[in-house]
Amino acid sequence: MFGRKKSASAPEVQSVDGVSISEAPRRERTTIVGKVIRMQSKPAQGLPTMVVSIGDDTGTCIATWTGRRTIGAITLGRRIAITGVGTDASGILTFVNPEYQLLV
Amino acid sequence: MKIIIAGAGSVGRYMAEQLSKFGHDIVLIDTSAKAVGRVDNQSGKIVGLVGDGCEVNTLANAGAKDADVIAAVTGDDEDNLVISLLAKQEFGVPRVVARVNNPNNEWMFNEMWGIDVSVSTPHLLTALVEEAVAVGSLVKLLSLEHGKAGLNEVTLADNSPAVGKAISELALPRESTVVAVIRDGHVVVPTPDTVLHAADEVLILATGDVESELGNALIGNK
Repeated sequence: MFGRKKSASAPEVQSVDGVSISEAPRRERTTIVGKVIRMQSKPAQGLPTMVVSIGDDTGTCIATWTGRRTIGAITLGRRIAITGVGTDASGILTFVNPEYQLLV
Repeated sequence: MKIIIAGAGSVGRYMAEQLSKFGHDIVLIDTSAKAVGRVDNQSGKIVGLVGDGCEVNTLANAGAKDADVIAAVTGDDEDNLVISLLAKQEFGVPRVVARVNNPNNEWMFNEMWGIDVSVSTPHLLTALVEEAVAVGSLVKLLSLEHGKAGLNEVTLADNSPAVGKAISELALPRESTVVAVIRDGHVVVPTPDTVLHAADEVLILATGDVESELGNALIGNK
């Protein structure tokens, strides 16, 4: 009615510059582009946590968002870009509460 | 190691002084210049920083980017949670240690807030008192690996099924191991042939889900 319908859906972009997962540095602000290959909602001692595996051609990494079970726009197979500081958690590149961007 | 300590109260200052004596590089953060100035910097390895540890910029100035450990030990649980989350989320600090002031808040001090190890003084005191008065029951002294494993202690009562048996004869569950036996104030390094006596303090490292089996082997069914 107020011309808002379009802006209400999340903005989608074609491409974002990122580094490949296998070459991503640790403990530096990094952007990764990949596809959601697995989603898991787990209660961490009663508190919800959303755990998402993201893969590109070179490997996979994990993004966790605390305090929520789902993020509406993040679905299986979705291409997303995440930006955050990655660390090694049991040998797997992991981001805690990264920024995310939906890609076409 | 590079260690950042947020909170220069008596706890934070003591930690900074002790850890710097062991050769670690310490950055001590507090909003109060007076509190930071009170630290005894004999080793010259403590750098004081006046600022709010709950702000990303302060942590960046403290060098959180290449810190090995951050300890959030202010007297305010909310601050400790924020500092811990920022340390993990914005800087990926490998080891985040947080102090719990009010035991009612302890449930929040977990990986969800970026915390690897939480230390609650009331909880610790309770466990130590329990340990001092309890003979013949399993007392958890310390949680490791986010509570998946723990160090347990039991003082063997006279009627314990383990008394008079060698460690190899005990039906100890998998994923548990006797790490030490304390007898008459001496530490006995356990071997499979070590025979347990009444009043021995037995320290066992085990995962949480085998605790009831441990109880059966060391305390017996009541």
